[in-house]
Amino acid sequence: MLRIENLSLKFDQKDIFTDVSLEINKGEIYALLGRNGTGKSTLAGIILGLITPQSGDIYFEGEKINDFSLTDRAKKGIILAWQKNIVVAGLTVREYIKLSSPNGITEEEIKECVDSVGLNCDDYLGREIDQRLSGGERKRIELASVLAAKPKLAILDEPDSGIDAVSIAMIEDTIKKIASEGAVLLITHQEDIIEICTRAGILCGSKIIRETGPEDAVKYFKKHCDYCEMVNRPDLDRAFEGAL
Amino acid sequence: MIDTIDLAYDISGGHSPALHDKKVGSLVIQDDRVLSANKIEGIEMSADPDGDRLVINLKVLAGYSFKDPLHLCFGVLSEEMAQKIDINIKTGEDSKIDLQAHCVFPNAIDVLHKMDADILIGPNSKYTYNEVHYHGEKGHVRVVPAAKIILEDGAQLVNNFSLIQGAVGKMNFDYDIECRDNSLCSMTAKVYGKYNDDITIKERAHLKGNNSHGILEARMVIRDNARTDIYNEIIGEGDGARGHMDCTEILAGKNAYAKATPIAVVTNQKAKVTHEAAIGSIDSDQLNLLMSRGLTPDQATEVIVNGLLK
Repeated sequence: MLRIENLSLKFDQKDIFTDVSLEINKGEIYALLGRNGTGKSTLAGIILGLITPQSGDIYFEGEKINDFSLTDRAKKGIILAWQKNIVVAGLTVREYIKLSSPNGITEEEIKECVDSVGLNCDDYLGREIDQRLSGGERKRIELASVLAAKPKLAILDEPDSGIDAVSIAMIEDTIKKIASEGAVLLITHQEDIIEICTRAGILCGSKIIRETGPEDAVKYFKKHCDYCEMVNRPDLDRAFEGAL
Repeated sequence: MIDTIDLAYDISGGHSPALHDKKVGSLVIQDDRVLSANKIEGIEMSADPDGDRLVINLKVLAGYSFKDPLHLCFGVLSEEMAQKIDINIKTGEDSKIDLQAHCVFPNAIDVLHKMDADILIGPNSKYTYNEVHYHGEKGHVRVVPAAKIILEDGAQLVNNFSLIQGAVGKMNFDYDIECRDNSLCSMTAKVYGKYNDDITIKERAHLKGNNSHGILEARMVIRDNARTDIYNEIIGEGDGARGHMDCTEILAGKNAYAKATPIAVVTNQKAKVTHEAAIGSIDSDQLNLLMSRGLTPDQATEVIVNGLLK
């Protein structure tokens, strides 16, 4: 569904990505793991069309989309659940979910989306999305809007941050539901949510240093990244291959 | 050409059957004459010509409150006209009234709408004034509303001014408010300036009374060659007086011009006045968010603008 080939990006002489390739297939929940500042959200920005890499190609459903605008990529079915809490004045939860559904959505479907992220429709549908909502509430609304968009590829940037432990299962179910009709790129550094992924890639030192299943991903991610951070040598992945 | 006041009223967002409902109080002014007036119990109302002006007296009797708003319509259907209105409003103690005013000038080529208001809001009464303007797309209207308002002890004023549809033309809005003990005034202006619109808003709230509160809020979107000059002033004088000014403006045109001047004056160490003002272009994060949902840049801009002016 999504194929990234030989992607490279440099900011201020610093390599953010060096020759990164990645493929996500239909039905997959692909977790992208990495410490803060490794470029996870930057990669999301590149897939979305917000950032232009120096080199590399992006294919979606077999079509090269390098030159597609943000709007065009969304129309193709690539939808991001934003990590940042962005407020558009005056926009209610209902209106936001509606505009996230370009093919139209019924009131009943809106309610289903809001219910599925654990929010009470009576309390939230007519409510303005503003600073009075907590970070967790806004995360849920963002996820509900992605669900409503029926994306082919959902990019979920830390959808679990600010969500309490009791509600996390509900969020995981929603992510699985989105993946059942498309694919999910899950950006996170939380261990718990990685369990629902089908595959994981570990981003470190401007590369995806390893792709693995969920169990090994957490183990490898912790050991490798702890060590890399300690010695500031993110290129030591080969040494760890043997150790693991 | 919009040729009936009902049609103009509906286009501006009003509900014209309310103007003909005998149970609902209303006053309809077309050009320089009274078209209809429906008085209801608890309200004394008169409208009489005086030279080139129309003088309206409106009194809300003490203790009365009303389920439905009182509808006012000030319309000019002619292309050229000077509509000058003096309006005197008094609300009695413990009364509560909502006024829904529509000012409609859909065919204007050279129209002046000048309104001078003297408003006395009685003790512990609540007065809400929602004013919506519709000027058509030509924008050849000069709107000059001026008001001197006194809020007596415990009185509340909520004033919402909206000029979003059509072009503004030239507007010079000048309000002076005096707040006595325990009174509250909340003034909100929402204006969408386009073409060559020239918008000046001056609002001064003098928080004379103890524990008086005042909020002056402006939400503006300016595009094309339009310009705005927002001057807000709050004087905190009484013990425990609290005032806040908030101005948000979006510039959506290369030649648009916006100026905001908040003046905070405090003459009592137990009073406090704050302000915030933000003028800038359309926020790129908001644009990206909406475009990432499939909206075009123009559609996204419209959502942001409509949201701010909602």
